[in-house]
Amino acid sequence: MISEQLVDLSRLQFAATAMYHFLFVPLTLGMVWILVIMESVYLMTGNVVWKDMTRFWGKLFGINFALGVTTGITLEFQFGTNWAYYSHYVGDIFGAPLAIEGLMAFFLESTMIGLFFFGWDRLSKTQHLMVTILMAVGTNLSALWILIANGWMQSPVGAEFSYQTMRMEMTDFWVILFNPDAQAKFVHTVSAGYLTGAMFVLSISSWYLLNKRDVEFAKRSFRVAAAFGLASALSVIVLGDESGYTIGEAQQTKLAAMEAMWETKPAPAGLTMMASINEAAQKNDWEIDIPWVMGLIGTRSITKQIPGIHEIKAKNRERIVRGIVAVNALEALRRDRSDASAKKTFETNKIDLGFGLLLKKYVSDVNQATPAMIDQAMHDTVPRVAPMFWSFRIMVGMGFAMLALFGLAFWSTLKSDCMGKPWLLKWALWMLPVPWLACELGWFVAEYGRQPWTIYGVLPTHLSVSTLTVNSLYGSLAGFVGFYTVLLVVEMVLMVKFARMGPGSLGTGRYQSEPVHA
Amino acid sequence: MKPLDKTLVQKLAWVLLIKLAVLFLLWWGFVRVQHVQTDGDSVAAQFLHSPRIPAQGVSR
Repeated sequence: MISEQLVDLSRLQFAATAMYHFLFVPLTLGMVWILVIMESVYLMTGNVVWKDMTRFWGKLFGINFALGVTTGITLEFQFGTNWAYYSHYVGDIFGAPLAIEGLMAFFLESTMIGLFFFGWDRLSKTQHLMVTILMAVGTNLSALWILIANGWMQSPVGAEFSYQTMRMEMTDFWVILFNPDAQAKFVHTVSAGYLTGAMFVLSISSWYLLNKRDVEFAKRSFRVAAAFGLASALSVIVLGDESGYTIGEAQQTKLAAMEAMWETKPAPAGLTMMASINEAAQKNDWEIDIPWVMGLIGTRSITKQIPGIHEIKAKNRERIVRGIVAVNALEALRRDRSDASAKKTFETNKIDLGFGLLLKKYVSDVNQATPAMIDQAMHDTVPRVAPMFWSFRIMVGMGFAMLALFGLAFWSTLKSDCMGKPWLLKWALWMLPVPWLACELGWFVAEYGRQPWTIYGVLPTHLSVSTLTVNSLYGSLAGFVGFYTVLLVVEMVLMVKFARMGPGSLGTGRYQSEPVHA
Repeated sequence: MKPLDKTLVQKLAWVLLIKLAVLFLLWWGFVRVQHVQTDGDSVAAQFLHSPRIPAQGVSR
């Protein structure tokens, strides 16, 4: 059997590198569209301050891109190095969007980024704007393909297991491409990125305004960020609701854990705002509910029930038992591929194969599984509730706090009095880290909530890891964490340095704090 | 290109070079020697109850 330490270390390494990577990604996703807006206004008005805004914020965007690029590559390599069985089992499907992302999106994005920075004096205004737009399309396409891959991990559609090759094989590319789970995740994630970009510009502009420096430049930046941020905050909340609905359709365990819904409640279920979760007794000691809301969010109806954790577990226990039959039939087929009876049994039960494989965590021969082991595997099918429940609520709370901030910021720019509200500027400044925290929590809910699966309902996590040595994992984990921390520090030092310099760093002679060159 | 921009480009170029070097060293130190077989048979051995010994990470 696979050592649990190996599984935990592999998960920790992937989680650590993914979370570092996603410190850089959302800012890239959001900032690039703000650059498109600023440069478009420059093209339409000819006012050079808009060009300066594009170049200054573009410089901060460039720092983030340079520091962030390659942090994602290690994730892709980890599929091969740390998750070799996963890669074999689902590589035919999962690899396709990743390859398309590299060829279509990353190359486009990287090429256009070079032209964006070095093309100001070589391209016409219109050509340069086209470059910026293509750069934005490239970064967002990149997110699309990655989230199609991730969406398939959450809801594995358009594929089928082959007992001959012992792997999942693609049956319909278009079903994978238009997987509702992937599409909902994509729009929700990029909206969160837009919100991050808007918060970054809003916060730094607020700092300039609080210090009364480069006021006209900062006011315009504040206005763009406020408008873009308000639209993004509304999108992220509406599309997050859509994402919640698709989770309810495809991943009932995740939804039940997020909502600490132990029992199936009569439709339409209430939304639990707060609860004292008693994980040991598998119940909430107390809870505060808003009637109907969860039913409407989770099912879009007032008559459909949302299954509770106990009901889901009971169904999953039956699936584990049927999964044992599927594993046995598969073993028989591996011994004799012409065994018609085994083939028939396997075809009938193969949908539960993954559930049978959950027992491999406790016993090498699933036929030897005791009722206690089956119960353990059944309990494993639902992630721990408290981390899911609270992470989700903190993320949502942050989303609404950002909506309030951007709403007020937008209102104040309409009234042209953001300078007269220092409390608003201070609030905007202190909110700077919030979108990153919300993004990380969102990913935690998505990925921790999928456990114990790497591919939901198909491939258990403990069977996906490579059989590496624990020492090599400790070494590479320490190396990645140390190195990525250095990158983060360098990013912050450069960002703070250039943000403090402000548009004066452009050396145009039009701004305060212009650097003096000999 | 303005002198400040030139300095920034130089710094970012160094960061990129150092990144590639460190990632290469991490791969060289911890990943290069690890190999895991994942053909259909080894996956069957890993996933099913089979007398065959599961593929292990081996040093070369």
